[in-house]
Amino acid sequence: MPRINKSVILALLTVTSSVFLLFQLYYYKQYLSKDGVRNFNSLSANDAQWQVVKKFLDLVGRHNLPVYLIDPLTLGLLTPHTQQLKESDSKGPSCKYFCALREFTTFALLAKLWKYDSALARSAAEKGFEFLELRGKDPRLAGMDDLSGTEIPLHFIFKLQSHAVHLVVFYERSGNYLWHGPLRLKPNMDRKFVPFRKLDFGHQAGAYDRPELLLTSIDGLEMRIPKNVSRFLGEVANSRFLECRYKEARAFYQLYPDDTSQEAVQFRKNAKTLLHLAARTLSSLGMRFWLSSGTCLGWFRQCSVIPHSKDVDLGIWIKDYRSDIIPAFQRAGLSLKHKFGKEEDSLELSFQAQDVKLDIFFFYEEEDHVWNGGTQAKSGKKFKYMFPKFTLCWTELVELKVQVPCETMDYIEANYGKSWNVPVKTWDWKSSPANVQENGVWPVGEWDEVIQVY
Amino acid sequence: METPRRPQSGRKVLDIEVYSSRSKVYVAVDGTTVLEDEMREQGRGIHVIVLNQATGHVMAKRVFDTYSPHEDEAMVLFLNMVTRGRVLIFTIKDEGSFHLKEAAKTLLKGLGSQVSLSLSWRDMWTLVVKKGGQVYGEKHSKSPALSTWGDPVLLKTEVQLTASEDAECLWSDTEMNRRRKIFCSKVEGYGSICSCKDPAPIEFNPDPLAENNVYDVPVAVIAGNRPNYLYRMLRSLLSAQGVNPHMITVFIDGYYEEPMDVVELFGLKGVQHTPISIKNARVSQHYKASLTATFNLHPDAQFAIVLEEDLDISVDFFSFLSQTVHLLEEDESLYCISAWNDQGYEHTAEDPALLYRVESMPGLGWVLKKSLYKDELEPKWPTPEKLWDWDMWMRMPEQRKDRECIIPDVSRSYHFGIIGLNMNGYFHEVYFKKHKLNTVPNVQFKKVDGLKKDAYETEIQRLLGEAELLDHSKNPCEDSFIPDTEGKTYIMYIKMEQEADSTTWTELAKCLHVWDLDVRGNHKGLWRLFRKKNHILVVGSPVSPYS
Repeated sequence: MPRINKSVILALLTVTSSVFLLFQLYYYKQYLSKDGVRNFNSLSANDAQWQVVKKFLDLVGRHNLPVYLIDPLTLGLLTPHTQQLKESDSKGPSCKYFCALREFTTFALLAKLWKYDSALARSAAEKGFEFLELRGKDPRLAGMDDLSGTEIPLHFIFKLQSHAVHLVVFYERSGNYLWHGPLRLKPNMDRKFVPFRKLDFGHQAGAYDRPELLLTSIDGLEMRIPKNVSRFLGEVANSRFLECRYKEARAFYQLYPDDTSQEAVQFRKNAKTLLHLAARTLSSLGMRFWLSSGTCLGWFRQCSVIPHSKDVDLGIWIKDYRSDIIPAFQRAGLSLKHKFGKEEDSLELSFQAQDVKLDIFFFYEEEDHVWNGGTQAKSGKKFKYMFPKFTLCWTELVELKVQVPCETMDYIEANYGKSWNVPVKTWDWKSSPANVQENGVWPVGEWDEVIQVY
Repeated sequence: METPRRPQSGRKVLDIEVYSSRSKVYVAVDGTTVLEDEMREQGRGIHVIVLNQATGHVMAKRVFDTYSPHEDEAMVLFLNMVTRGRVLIFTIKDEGSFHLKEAAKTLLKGLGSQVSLSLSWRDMWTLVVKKGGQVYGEKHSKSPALSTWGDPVLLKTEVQLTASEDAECLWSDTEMNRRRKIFCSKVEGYGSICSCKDPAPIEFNPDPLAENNVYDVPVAVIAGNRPNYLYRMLRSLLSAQGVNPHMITVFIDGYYEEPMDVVELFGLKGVQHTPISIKNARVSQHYKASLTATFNLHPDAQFAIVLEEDLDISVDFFSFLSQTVHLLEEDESLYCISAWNDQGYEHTAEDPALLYRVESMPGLGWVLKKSLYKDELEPKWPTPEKLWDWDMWMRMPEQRKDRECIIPDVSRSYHFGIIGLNMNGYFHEVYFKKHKLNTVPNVQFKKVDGLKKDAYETEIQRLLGEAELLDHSKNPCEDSFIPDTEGKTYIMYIKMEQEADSTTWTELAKCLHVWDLDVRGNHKGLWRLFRKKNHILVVGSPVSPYS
């Protein structure tokens, strides 16, 4: 019997153990790259968020729900560079966005692209999610007529352990914008289900322009995000939406039946066209505006244009003033009727369309109030209209998304006094407003500049 | 409040009170009045109430005026459709025996009535019975003389509720059957959709339409409180080729439960509207609210399809619209597209592939352009105090502005409503019953672009060229006026002094048994129809440019 060589045995053993080691390494690599670090003891709370988001995306993918990321914190962290679609990096040291210690990640869903059914709730439960659905009244049925349908889904919460995905449902509305509803818990709901107060969306209803979406990869997860992130984030800060007060408007029309004469119908038609044109023009200039004076009163009191109002009134902050506003409107087909005041004081522009005038009042901000000015052409007298400070909210009028002062009642009462609910057919801008004050007179030398009538 | 009595078996017992008299009937279940009628001049006959045997809820309420003919047949049909086990309550108001024939009496006997065979003139009668089960109570009082009524009858009895399982069928657990279950435990009178064995379908899978141009057009179904009509209409709508159920919304004029139940049975969206005003103004306000809401719910839509609850829809309804909707987009001289040919009766409509331009707005299944509604109609829609018909208003020259509608020769909708604000049995018989409805699927319309304004004139000229003049010495009302040919084109002239002169046309329409209540279906003084399968051109002379 030949004696077995010691070195041969050694060599054999080495080879076997190396093969075994290589096999282990190979298997480890395979396993690792498959589902992430589920079985690793080093699992920390940071990974939990990523896991939940991934599970959520798998779930919505299976149900063909076209969601997109609207989480302000996460979007804020993205730089333009990372928005390109690249190779999926596996989640590892490059987990930058979904690994912060947070309670929520927020996504959006366009209701129009999804047929709602109860299968989603069941699949969510199967995947281990605790699922909450919040419904509310459909605002698209709100109007001068009293309509009611079944409640529509407004918000979904998918909770898994310590993290939750908040899915906000957006509805398309006339006026070419997206609307989402406020998140209101019904009496029997568990208020401690998730820390609702920390949600980024849902404290109030919100309005957004329809965003263009981009498919991208964040932390190895493929998802859609708004293409213009900074613009979207700007909208988030300014998104509060107010529904028109239809109930009060109906009550108003009970007391004061609507004017349905030819003239009224024609005026409303012209006013609508003019408002749309003004909105387009100002938007192209990037100038914020809101409904002011009679136009604001019409929205607030009766959810429509006041037939005897004679013009369309808008307000703009003087700090947003741009001198190319005049040529812009002229290019749009309006002619400048008068220009009163100057940028430093009491600026006011008036443009003429076919049969309606567009009055633009520029508002000046003081410490504890704001004001806009008026000028009487023939005497050079100046007038000042004071208002309490206000913020701006979105709403809808004549199929257009427009802004109004959020504190509308205060604004209207300042302008029209307590009897704003009573129609006044003869209005004198010099004396009728409740907040008008005489403000001196322009020096004659300045008249050429501050009183321009065409 | 009394606690419900629970005898040994532990099930609740209902107290039922039923009252029958000349001028008043009422039915109370556990103290709650579920039926009360003491209005004069209405509600005569046999009142029937169906209760759910497990919950005691009212599932159906009907009244059959069996003093008048044929109502007993309707009652028999209804009773046959009610599911076994339901609790039936009968009571007579005023008179219910005059036209209560043998068949009906025998049926009532079969249910358990001891007196039905002897019911006679002005008798008062009440009956509470379980269908296919026991009689809970019956009371009868004979009228002593022809000129008097029987004494009022008050029946008080008890009905023990059953277990809910006994009241339900065991259908397989699907989304569809869950809806069916909810419906069938609430409502009776819909026949086989609630049968335990082989229930009738509530989901239909019609063939999809290739290149469906109206797939994303919202469909507004304008409804009131005629749930059995709504049921029939939705069945035909959901069976039409190319239908998109997600785009359908049913607008109900009032907070009526049963129509809403029907909508939910089919898995559709329903919206209820608080009614405003009265009579035709109420209908008009409901239309306005529904159309405004339709465009709010679908802000991207440029059109809306408007239907009503008393229409049967042809199988190629959406195919017809898909082939023609682009005309509404491209031709400014068009007001609407409608599925209804006012003159399209069984004897006057022939060609399913033929289209016309007409100066009237037929409604009854039509397409409304959003810009027309938002820019022109909505801002000046009649206010609630104006008692006008919305469709008459839409036909006025101030609204129509000389625009025309496209209609098919053979209508794609059929108006079956007999009861309604503007309807009655006689009216239906004369003007609607024999209306022709297309049943051929997938009809391809001929030369659709030939319906545009100028192209249509060319077509008319061509027809005028090939038409043979009819012998005007004969009586146009007679069949012999038209030769015994088929497929030929003929032309006849009628006197028409000015545009508003409708005397001769109305005479002709009357004797041809087409629509003669006002002038419809003309295009510049020309009417087109078929007689004995020949195409006839009727030209009003001298007003028409074709004369």
